[in-house]
Amino acid sequence: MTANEYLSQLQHALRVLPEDEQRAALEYYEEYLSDAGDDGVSSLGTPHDVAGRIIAEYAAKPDDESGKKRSLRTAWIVIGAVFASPIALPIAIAIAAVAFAVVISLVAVFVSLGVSAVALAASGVACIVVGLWVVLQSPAVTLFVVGGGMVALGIGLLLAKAVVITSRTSFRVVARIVGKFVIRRSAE
Amino acid sequence: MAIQASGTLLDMSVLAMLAREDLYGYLLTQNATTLLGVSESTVYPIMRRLQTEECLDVYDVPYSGRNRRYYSITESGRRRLREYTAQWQDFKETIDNILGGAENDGE
Repeated sequence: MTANEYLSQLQHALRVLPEDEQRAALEYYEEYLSDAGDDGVSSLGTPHDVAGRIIAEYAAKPDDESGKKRSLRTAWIVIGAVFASPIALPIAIAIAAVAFAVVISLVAVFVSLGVSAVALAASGVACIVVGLWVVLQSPAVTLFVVGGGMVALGIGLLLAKAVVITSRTSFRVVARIVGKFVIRRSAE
Repeated sequence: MAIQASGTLLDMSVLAMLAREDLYGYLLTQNATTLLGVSESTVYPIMRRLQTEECLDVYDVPYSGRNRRYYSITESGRRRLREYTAQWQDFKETIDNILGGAENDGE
């Protein structure tokens, strides 16, 4: 590979970066290859690797930026990298569709579980109220119904808590899997 | 080398080399790769970051029909180098103590 071929491949690999970052890197490597002479290209590693390091360092730039702003920028670079590649675009749409479907079904499952939990707890409360209502007529019925109501209320609350915890974890897992997939695709 | 310079250590080394003299990209990269055993492609991103953090300045010098971009350390670069050097001394002493302790145990 000649120096010019190397630089044009590097330029292609760097296109997700802002223009001034691209220009600075290309100027540096152009000068580097002029100084390095004939074996410069072979000593550098592939344009892809070189670009990867530049992009990684740019995305991780730590100074005077809040973590949120930085991860937002990283997200934009990842999104840009995905959409900049003609092959990746249909894949990105497919990933987005699958992720959307997974999220929707998870929401459906957790909403229905949550509704059941709330209904169970509510029926427990109702039983307790009704049980106390009849305490003068029949203490035995009160004991039975209030006891049953407490069991229902307890199970309902536990179920609700479990739904909240598992839904949170599973959305986090889905987000992580999708994120990993997107980053791996864009690194290729 | 089993022990690799990375992160802050690389920043510190680059700043220290430039505190001694201004260097152009290829020479700085060569120094870093031969002295520290890092790969060629690690050096540019560090220099670029130090430059945007205003620890380094650049200026162009004509050289056989083209320009060579020289890197020089700024005042805030020197300040940072001093901070790193102090932290490095602490770190080095800690590791030396641990290693010294291990040696004594072995005897």
